[in-house]
Amino acid sequence: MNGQTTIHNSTPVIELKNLSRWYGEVLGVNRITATIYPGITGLLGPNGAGKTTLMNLICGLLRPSQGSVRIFGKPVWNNPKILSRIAYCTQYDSFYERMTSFEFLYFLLSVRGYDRATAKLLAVQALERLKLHDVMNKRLGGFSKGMRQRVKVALALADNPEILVLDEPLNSLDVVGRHEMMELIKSYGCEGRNVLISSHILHEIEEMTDNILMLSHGYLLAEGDVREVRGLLKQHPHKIYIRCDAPRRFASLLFEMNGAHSVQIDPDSEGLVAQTFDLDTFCHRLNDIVLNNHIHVSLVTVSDESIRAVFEYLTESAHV
Amino acid sequence: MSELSHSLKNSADEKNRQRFRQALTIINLSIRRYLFTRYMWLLICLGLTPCLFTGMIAIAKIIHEGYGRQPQISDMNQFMQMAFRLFYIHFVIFFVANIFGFLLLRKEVDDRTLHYLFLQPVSKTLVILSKFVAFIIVTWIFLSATFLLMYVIMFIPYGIGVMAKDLFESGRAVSLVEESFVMLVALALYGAISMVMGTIFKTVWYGMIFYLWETALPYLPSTFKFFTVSHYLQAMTPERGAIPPHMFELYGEMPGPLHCFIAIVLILTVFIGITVFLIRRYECRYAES
Repeated sequence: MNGQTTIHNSTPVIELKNLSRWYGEVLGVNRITATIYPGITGLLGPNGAGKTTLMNLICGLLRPSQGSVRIFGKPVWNNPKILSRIAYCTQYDSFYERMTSFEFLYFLLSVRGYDRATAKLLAVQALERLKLHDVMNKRLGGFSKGMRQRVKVALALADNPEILVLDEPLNSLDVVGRHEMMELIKSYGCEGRNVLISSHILHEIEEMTDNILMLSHGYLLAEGDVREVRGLLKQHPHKIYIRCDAPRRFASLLFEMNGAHSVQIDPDSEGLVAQTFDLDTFCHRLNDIVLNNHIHVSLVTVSDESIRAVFEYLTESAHV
Repeated sequence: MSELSHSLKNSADEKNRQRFRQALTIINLSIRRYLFTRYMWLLICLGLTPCLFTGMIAIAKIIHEGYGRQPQISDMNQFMQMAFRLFYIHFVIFFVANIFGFLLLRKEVDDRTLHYLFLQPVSKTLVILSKFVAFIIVTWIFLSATFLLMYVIMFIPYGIGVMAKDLFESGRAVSLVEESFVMLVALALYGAISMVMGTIFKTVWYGMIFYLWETALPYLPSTFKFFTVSHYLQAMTPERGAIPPHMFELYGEMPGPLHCFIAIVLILTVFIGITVFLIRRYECRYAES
């Protein structure tokens, strides 16, 4: 896996050369050299791996301490021209709270250089695409986290940029929302656009692309095919935390359906932690249990411990 | 060849038009962000304080002397000039410009919204200068309006006719326009300085040192006076010919119009230049803010 290269015929979209970024003494990313080609590319790494720093460098929000970032062959730092070809959906949950979602998109599209009529049209289309047209005249301050996430993605998608950079866009979304978002991103990639998407959950990335960059502690650990990482995961089950109103019943139903490798009830009896090697089957079983047994589930999160284990494995292999 | 140069000129024109449109949108966006925030309330409170004082004086005059008596125009001119020189220049404009100028960039960083502007295909310089223009528009219109309101309130005990006579026959309208222009210059100068400070510092406390420096003007040796903004603002303020000379003798010798012009251009160029230099190197890093 380590050091694997894939041969591409197409022109590179993003080129990172010996890219480093330090925050004083703290390392953000270190000596990253990689080339990103057209299509969807996943940026995978546990929390604190340097994914956001790398994305901020790629989009020109940060200046490299060393090395360079080139987009379509041009440097990105202090180069506003290139920004007309990129859209970046950040992790920051911050907005102009007093504005409506429509105004928010309309103003920022106008700053992007579109005239009034075009900005209005693009804003409405983007909100419709993200199923936010019903609330387009409501203030952003009153939006739920999931809706705010969708507004950010709508803004990023609004003018069909050539490069779409998404920093953990599936955060705060419910199961249906995640599925819809993944489909949207996939369809965007299928249209021949370039998408760079980050996540600390391998399963999410795997749903959308085979092509990944793996980061850990600021270093590029591997780049290439996600299936090779998947193979390594066989030794490391996924850990899923479920918060529901009947965790004991839920656990017994999971076992009955052979849906989990192990289940542990949370000490506060308000949830359970299940472990599985097959996340797809687990998700289907989870849906069946919820629908057939009327159990109210308030939260389902996949921990990144499994992917962390793979990172540890890869880090160890790299040192040997 | 001429076709090529024509099309290049057209494309350059289109780019300029687009840049202008982008600047206008940022101005509009910034003005909207000022409205209904706690900072706007601060502006309202600071701006209306002189009106409130004038209102209290007007009521007291009506109570004690009755309505419609003959005004002492020289007293009123003295009051207006004192209010402008001491209250507006040294207090209201100073604080408004410092707080709003400081917040131009800092508020976007504190609200974690700066990246929305920095991710657009528009230079950081244009972003900050557009925000600067928005700040000037909002504060200047409001403060000029409150100054005018103060003037109107002052004439309440004497009636509208007396006010109209003073405005148009005694030429007070020109003085008001001049004072409004001094306000604009003051906002621009203090705003440009605090804009630099907002790019460097995280809190506005530096303003207290700056304030002490500026208010110490009358007590500074004459060489130091040239390093205060208020020295030039006092010099630019129109004389209403009603102030006893000893009242402002502490201000020392006032610079002439040419000196004022050079100083204003120099201060604006230096501080806007520093802001442009800093902003081009500025990174969006909220975590450390």
